[in-house]
Amino acid sequence: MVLGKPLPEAALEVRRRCGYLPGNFSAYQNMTAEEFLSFIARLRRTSTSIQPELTERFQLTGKDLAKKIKNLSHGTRQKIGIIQAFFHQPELLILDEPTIGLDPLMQDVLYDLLREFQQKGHTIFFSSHILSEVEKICQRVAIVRDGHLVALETLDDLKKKRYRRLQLLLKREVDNLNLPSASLIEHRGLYYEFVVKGEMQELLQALARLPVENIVFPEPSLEEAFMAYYRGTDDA
Amino acid sequence: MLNRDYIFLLLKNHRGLTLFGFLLSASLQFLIIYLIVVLNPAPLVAAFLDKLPLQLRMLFQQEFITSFSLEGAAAFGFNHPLVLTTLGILAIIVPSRHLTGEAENGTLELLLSYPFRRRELLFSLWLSGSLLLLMVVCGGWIGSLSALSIYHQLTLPVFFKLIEIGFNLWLLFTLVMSYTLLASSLGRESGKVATRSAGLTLIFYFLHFLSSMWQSLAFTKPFNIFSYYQPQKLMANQQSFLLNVVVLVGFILFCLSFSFFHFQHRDIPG
Repeated sequence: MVLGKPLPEAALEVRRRCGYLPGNFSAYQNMTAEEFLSFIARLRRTSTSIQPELTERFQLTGKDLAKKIKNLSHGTRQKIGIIQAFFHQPELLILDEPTIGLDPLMQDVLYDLLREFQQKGHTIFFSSHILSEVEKICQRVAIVRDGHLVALETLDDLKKKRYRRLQLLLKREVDNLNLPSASLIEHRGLYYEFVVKGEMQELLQALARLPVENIVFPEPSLEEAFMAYYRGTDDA
Repeated sequence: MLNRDYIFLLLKNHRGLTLFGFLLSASLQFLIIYLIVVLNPAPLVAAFLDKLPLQLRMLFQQEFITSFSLEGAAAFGFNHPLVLTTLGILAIIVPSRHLTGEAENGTLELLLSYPFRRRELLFSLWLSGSLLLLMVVCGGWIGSLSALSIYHQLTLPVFFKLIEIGFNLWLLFTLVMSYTLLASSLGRESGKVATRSAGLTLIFYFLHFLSSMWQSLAFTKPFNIFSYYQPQKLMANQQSFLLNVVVLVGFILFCLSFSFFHFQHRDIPG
């Protein structure tokens, strides 16, 4: 079921209500960008009224739109791909690596557009290997490994369950340093590095008793969570 | 079942080659008929052949001699290798580029994400290809009919025969396009699909010639698509037009239904 409709029976209606940007966006090379967008609008039997607003946001000029797709830069082609996915105001948007080829400024334009869509109550499936951008805009994350869904959680929950790295620099040597819920992975003189998973209370109490010079205990990144899943570790 | 916008897109994409084919077949037909009317070479060719030794004379078939008559020449233009090559290229390029080629470069994946049924896509593609082939055949009709009218040689039987021949030619290459469509719905590389279809068409073409010269290959005739298009024989009422139509339409429908089935169940790689 997609959008409350059974598949494949209602495939056509579902597709009408979806927007899609493939990872490797490719269009008819001999068409101009304008011709391509009009062609898509006719296929979708929808008006092209939203297009001017989108082309303006993505800084596409009339000159860009009049060029054949084969003559456009990769970034401009990607912008056309994004516009064709958005312009009919889909209820469900599926984007596969949408920021490829976009400069940082245009990436921000896209993020803003996605947030606006989220606020309007639309659903966005955003596939990316750039985890920093996933952290920026996604609320729920699914991790797929070997074609199987291995995790589907909110971003916060996913991070909470992950190992965190704890780096300690002590003022003096401590014999047999053991911390609850933590395993030592590196020790060089007064420098210690642990991986932590589990209850924080006991750990913090143990740390309070130590002669700590410096402590680094960063938020777990999505990258670490992702890598743990991809390494396929049992405790991931 | 049909998508007008997609059909227009395909017709526009191949307008160059189609226009070339149209002009080529029109001018070739016109030129051939003009030369035959002006020079009337049939008696000269017959006299020349009579003087050749029997072994050499055997090399020239009756079709060759009849092609120097007005009717034979009008039919020959529809069987000229240049016209056949143009039609063949068009028949192979349209399905292989728009089905396998676009599946390869990702355009098909995008196209199928729109509210566009697979069978609608396939049928629109087939119809566009057929229309493009028909336009080239129309060139042949226009060339022949205008030359025959200008030189006051146009009669009603010849007119109908030319319509039959053109229609038969169109069906033959629609079949070539249909089996290329079938190969495209199965294949993953457009280059390979096009090469295989072209290879198969060439095999049929050469086998058709060889089987008329060598009796040992005569058994292949019923299985050869070119046996169902022999314009000179059609012009001389030596072949059944209806049989040709039934056989070619039968093969076309067979290829089309298999293409629909395979394309409907095929995974489109992203």
